[in-house]
Amino acid sequence: MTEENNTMIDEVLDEILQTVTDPNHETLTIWINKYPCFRDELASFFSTWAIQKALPKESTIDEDRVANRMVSHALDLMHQRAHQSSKSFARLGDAIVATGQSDDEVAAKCKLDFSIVAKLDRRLIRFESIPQLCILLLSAATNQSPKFIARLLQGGPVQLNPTFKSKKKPVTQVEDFVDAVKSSELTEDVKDEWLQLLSDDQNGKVE
Amino acid sequence: MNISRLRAEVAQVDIPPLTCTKRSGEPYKRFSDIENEIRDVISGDANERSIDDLKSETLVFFIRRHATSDDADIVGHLVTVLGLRTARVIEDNAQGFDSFTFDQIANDVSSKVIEMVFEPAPSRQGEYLEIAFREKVKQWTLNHVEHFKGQPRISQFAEKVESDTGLAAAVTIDSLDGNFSKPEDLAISNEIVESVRRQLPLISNEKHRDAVILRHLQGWPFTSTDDSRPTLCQQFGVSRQTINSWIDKAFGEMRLAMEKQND
Repeated sequence: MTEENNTMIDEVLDEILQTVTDPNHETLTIWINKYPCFRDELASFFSTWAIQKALPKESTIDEDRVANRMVSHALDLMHQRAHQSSKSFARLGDAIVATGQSDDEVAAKCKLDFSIVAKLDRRLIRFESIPQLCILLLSAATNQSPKFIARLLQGGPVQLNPTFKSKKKPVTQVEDFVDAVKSSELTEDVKDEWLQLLSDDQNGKVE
Repeated sequence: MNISRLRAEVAQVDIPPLTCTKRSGEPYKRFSDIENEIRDVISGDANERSIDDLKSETLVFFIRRHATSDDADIVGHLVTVLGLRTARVIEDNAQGFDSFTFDQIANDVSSKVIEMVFEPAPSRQGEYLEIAFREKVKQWTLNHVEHFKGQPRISQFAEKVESDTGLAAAVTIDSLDGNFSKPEDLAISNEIVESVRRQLPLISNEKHRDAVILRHLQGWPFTSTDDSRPTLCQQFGVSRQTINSWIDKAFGEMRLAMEKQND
């Protein structure tokens, strides 16, 4: 099964588990008619579910043992992450790299484009002009706290490594978020949403 | 979803929205009762309540937010509560295995829950835990159960069955194939179905037992002229005669075991 199909069957099963309480044959047939391409997967899932539902409870789980094992696993992962954060997170790009996502993927999740993410990474956008929503979206997309993301976006601009020697000091242009949106390659609809949001904030329409 | 509306929803307190979307493009969104509970916790309105009373989705939200903090105490407490609930879902949906396999399923599913809660980048499956935790864990458990089909199962006699009901089930088992149209017939049918359900552990062969469940408790047909309808013959890959023979053997086992119990 392709990844696309895996995602789709996953979504179908999410939908089924939210709406179906009795995995009987009639209900199964309704869902197969709705998603005929997953006939075999649905038949197999419903039969497993129906059998589990019918079986009396003979095996009992050691709840405390499962919970303790989960806590131990969780603390291990937390420790690994804390170690990684303190070691290398100085810029937004570091936080993105640590998630295993590309800048483009994070940009898409945050209604931004590559150019804005790159500017945020190099702190070329004035922090005071960045809407809180942008920080929240970046926080969710990188699994970092909003406070931590805010810290990464503040400070002096990051200079690129000079590839040639110049007598003049390089000038780094810093701009407001609104200008970065206007000059981005976002669709007009998304640009309008950001501009409307920024305008509402300025006019005090949104608390 | 419009950004302004999204902004209005998160303006009161800082609740980062979910970032994934369905294949249709519709964004993932927590249910409003969950977001309200999260807001209550953040604003202090839920101070009087215990962590044990919070919804599982709310617990996942706070664990994910604290995952980068160094407060192991809070995370440990939240994960303990979530772990107890995870264990119950697994127990409800992974019956009929030997203790080793049962433990392996519990280990695999609980590990998956933690990996998804602490995932480095949000994924559909991970974020769905903030939408419908129990359903997602149930789905993962059933997927594991499917994977372990054919593994050795527990084969043991059930607790002593009330003789009247048990014999009624054995004697009138043929009537399960009939149609129950009158209310009293339906009542009898429900009684028989419940009795059969209680006696399922008496069936030693897993396939025979599954055939009884699908045929007599869930109404699967043996065959069908309609290709879209799943059938027992397709599901088990054998003929109708074979399945009938399995079901006969299963009911024979149930009768025999009950007769022994009644002696």
